[in-house]
Amino acid sequence: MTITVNGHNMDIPLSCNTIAQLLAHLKLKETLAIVEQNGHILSKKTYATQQLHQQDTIEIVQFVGGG
Amino acid sequence: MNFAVTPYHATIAHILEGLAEAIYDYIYVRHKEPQHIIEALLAAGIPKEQLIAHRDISLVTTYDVAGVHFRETDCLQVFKQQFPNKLAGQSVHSQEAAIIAASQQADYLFFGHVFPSASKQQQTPKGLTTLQRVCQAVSIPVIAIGGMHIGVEQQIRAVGAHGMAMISSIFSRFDVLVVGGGVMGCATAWRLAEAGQRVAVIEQQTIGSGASNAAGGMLGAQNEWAEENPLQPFALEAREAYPALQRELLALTGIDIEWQNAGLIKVADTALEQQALTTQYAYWQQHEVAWFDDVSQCDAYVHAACGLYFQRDGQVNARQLTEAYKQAMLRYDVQVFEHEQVVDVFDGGVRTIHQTLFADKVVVTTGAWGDADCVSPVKGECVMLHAPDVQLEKTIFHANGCYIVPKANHRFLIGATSIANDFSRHVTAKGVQWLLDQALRIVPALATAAIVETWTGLRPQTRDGLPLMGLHPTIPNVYVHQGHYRNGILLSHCLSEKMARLILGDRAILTQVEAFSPSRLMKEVST
Repeated sequence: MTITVNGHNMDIPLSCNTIAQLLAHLKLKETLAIVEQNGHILSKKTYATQQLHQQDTIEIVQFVGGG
Repeated sequence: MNFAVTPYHATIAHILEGLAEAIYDYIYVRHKEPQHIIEALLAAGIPKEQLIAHRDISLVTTYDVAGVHFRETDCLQVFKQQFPNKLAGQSVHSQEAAIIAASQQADYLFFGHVFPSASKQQQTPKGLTTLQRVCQAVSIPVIAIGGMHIGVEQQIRAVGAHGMAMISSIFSRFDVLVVGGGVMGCATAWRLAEAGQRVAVIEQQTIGSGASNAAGGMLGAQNEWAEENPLQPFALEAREAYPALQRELLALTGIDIEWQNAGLIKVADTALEQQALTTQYAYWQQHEVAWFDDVSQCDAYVHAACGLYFQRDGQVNARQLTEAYKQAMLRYDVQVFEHEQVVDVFDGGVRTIHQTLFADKVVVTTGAWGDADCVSPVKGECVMLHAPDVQLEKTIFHANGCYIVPKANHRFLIGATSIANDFSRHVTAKGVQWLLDQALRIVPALATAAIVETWTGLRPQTRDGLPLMGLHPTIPNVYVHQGHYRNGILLSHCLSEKMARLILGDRAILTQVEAFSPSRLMKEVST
């Protein structure tokens, strides 16, 4: 399916059904990411169950520090 | 039939020191003052039957040594006639020369150089296959020379050689070889040498050229995390140790690492970014961190929706720190090999393209370089601005990853982009564009700043985000100390000091750093 992630259109495999799977696909650590789906900030506890849909607008902020 | 070959200019003290730890059958005295060395060796109790002289037959007359070793172009006949019961050896470099020497009644041959050797860096090594052909061509003993050490004895004998002639592995040994000259390698080498170890650092390019000289220098012990993490206690310990480290390095080297403690403001704009800050604030429970709904109240230069002020997360000048570690290790006589790429690490040393170096222990501090399955580069681009009228002192760190670090002489370090799995070193237009867009949005006063420099660095990221620290999973006497991603500068001294103590024998360190065990990622892969 096609979704938008941080402003970029992205084709993701059919096996990516949940937010958790999307994060894994993007090689992002769940614990270090805050996710917004269609304008709603998600609770981390729901990543594993929250479904992805065609045309979803996803925003992800990663915890970074140091440098 | 193994030979210890003395280095040409070595002192008798150095020679005796090397021999004391070595196993050999003969000592080939190839030296600028052979009589002096032979007399000293005899006086030290070494039997004359173990000594071989270089080309000078009169030394047999005078000292009754076991034999004489000749060059490829020398004729052995005079010696063999005069001393039929003494050994006549000859160095050869080809199968043809070997056959000729054997026909001239040589008792043994040196053939080489077989492996890369410090003595023959400009020439191509001959390798095991040629050695084997030489061994098959003659029936007298063939002794291999060039990069020889106990670790290859089996391979040498397997192709038919009777033994090895060793120089560096007996007389140019180090206690520890450090592979990789970034902050981790240099800090570890410094503390080891300070403790009396003979250390060499082998760097593929120049000291600090990977990530160390590129870093922003932030000591973000709190800024880095919003949850429990095994690195956190070390990060806090490391951050608190910086004032003392600055004093120590200044006294030892005269270099000021420019430790600053104006604190760090983490800022956010979008709702999502603010959520990240809220989460981080909740984690730290107001411990040395304050929330600002109006960031201009914290610092008038900063424009953002909200911010967290970490008052104890300071910063240092990463290039000064790298240089200070380098000078500190030079102060303790660490030998530095630059532009030397290590191609193999083994129990007992390392092999580079040009030479083989020998040591009891090796520590791998290669940063982003290593097994691609375990560690990979995350390229970062940076811009340095110069703005004499901007009085900003705090570090500003945006939740989107852009940071502004005030440096000495009115400079501001803007960092950094993140490009995974990229070893390239050029700065891109879009990288600079992003950095400047962000920086000018956060601190508009920087708009008229001059651009003075741009550069890249390669952050070393491991597969699970935690460093590799401890014993190599398969190679004995090899340690691993790499993969510190965004916190190398912060952790450099604290963790390297522990690594040095581990290498010196403090095994309790291993329990402390269990979470970073190399075997969790490296498995059966070597190097």
